[in-house]
Amino acid sequence: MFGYMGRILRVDLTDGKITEESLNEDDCRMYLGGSGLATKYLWNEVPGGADPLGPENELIFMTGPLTGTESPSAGRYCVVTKSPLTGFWAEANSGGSWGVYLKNSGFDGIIFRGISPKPVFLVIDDGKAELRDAGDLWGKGVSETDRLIKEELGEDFNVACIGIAGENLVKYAAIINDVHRAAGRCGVGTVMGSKRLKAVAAGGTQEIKIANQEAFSETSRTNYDLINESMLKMTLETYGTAMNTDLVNVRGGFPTRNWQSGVFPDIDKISGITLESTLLVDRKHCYACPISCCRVSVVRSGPYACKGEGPEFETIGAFGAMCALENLEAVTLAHNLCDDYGLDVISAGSTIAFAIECYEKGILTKDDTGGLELKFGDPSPVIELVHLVAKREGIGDLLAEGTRRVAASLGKGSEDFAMHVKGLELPAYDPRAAKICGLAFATANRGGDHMTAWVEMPAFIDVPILCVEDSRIEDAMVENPAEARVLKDLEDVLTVFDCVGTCKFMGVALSAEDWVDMISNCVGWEFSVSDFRSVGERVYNLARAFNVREGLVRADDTLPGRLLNEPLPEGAAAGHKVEKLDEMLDAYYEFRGWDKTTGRPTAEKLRELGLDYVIDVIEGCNHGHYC
Amino acid sequence: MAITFGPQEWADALKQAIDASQAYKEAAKKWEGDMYIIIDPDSAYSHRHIVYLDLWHGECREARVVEDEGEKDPKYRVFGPFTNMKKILDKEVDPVRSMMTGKISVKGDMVQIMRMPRAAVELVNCMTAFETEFPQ
Repeated sequence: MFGYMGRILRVDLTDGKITEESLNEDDCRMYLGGSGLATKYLWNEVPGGADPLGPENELIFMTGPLTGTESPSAGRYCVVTKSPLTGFWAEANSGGSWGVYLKNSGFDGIIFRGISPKPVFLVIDDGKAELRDAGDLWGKGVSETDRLIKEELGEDFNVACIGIAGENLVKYAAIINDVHRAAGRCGVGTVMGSKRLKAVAAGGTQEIKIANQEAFSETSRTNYDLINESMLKMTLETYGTAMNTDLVNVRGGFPTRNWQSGVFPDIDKISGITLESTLLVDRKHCYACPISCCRVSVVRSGPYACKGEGPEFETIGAFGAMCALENLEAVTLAHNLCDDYGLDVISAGSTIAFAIECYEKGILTKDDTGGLELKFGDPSPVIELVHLVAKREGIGDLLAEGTRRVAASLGKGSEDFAMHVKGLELPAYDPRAAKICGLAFATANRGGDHMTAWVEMPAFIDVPILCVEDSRIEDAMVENPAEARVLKDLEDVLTVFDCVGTCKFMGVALSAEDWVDMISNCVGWEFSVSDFRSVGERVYNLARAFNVREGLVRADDTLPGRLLNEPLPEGAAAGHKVEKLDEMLDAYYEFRGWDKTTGRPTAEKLRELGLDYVIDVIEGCNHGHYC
Repeated sequence: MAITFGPQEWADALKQAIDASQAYKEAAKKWEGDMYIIIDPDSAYSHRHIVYLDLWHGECREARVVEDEGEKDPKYRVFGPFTNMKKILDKEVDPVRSMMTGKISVKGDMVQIMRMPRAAVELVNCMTAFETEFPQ
């Protein structure tokens, strides 16, 4: 097979048995790889209602056919599992270069199941695999784990691991590779911790064979040139993802003080421009990426002294505006702590912002917080809470459960301002200031998420996503049911990037036509623009079917009460709230070919997508209960 | 000699600067599309100005002051308040940063701008290639 290593590694952590199997080419044509292929395994092998932290759940690391090739920004891998945070399909993916190491080790992916009786880490190297004792690594942070494993195995290995948060089963723990790159969302690191799997160290020099090498290289070069000339590179390289802070704030949609406002008044103190002119010391890029959006930053002295990467836009959103911190140094430290503890920055910052509002409203008291006074704008308790959450100490033990469970535990009306969808905390784009984003958060398969459709780019900052025919949002303040079509198209097409192993930024700057040549020349079979869309739609529907099997109903496709009931008080979107979610959902389901009452993919749609094997299972599901 | 901002002379000077710029010709060799540059009044300046530019494959086919915005239906509209536009023309801030911070806005087919941002940057460089005198 071209573009693939052709082998999947299976590791049963309960008995330590390691086996391997050949990749099924038919599955590759149907699901490509990455999150598509992993979701197929997950559907087939994890029974409905499985405990996300139990032995039946699988933790699947998967690369795509472009991972590790000359294609622009093709260093990505994904992790698919059942989420302990949402109870639904979980997917998180990450850049850096670990995905390339995984592929060069001789495997396209690894499927873990079971629970190890003691902490272990997996070493894969040129087609060989072994579990090693991780007793000495348990309790160590990410950077120390990385250092110790490389000391043991050599610098030719790259490490993906969990930090202390994953070990302690913080529900939003991340898996970190290359020390600072995160497969962050949905608690994939929690599942890894539950299996007592500390790390996967990958090394090797296995070659990735390309079907039409010359044409592939030529297409890759052309696409590099397009990226190099693009606005995307010009802005992201200079300012990083944090470039969006000003633009979202000026639209009145930068969630501030746990979404009580959409305008952060001190934006100049935490913006991407400020980061560039103060703490930034270098820029880094993921494998084969022409952009270099990654920030290397240093806080040289003072209480927030640290050195590392970031902060990204989402960290500035979650720890900056949501917690009302105008101190960029504190935000940078929070980012670095999350990396080393292995925490998802969005869920961590959001849950802390929620706790601060609970405290200010008297729902949490000093007795609950162990004496900590929580106040919007005060960095010290925010930093302290990051430590407590990762260690599950004091109030951190409750906050480690995520916003939804904290609200359920506290009650007293806190559910109304618990900012999550399906249990996943929301990214820093307020749908009251760009309405289509509300539909995107409500329907995304992994919960409240921006990267599934990335409609925030056209909706908030007027940037088109070139890999779909038309991503325009005419008026972001209007809830236009016809534009649910844009959302569906974006979800389908951007899903393909998670399947092939490249960065979604590449979908902003390159068209589907630019991509299909590259994929065809890589794998050696004809892959058309139509295939591009249908693979994405197939994978999207399979993930939805997984969620239906876990009990998802239409009522789960909703938004927090604050977004539906509380108008924004100030800024460009003052007076706005999300008003027509039901109408937008109807239109979206119609475009998707889903039943409007249940929110399930119809048998007709599933048949059209070649997902016949799913039909009987989800039609037999009782509403709201897993099968 | 400084050209006063606003009247047709300023549009003529801009056309000359574009036609003389090798950097613009190179960056915009595939550029297709006309535009309005709209300077909106603000607290520092009370008039509205619209300059129409017909840009095609690195050349400026027409540059003129337009009184009625409805006169043309250009592919792009670049607009912002006087003070922010003046900062760009005075080279106090770069145009990409101004777009990023929402100080100026662009409406139109963003695909071309995404793919050829240097054409936009070189166009702004042409605007600053001659000295502009701003009305008080």
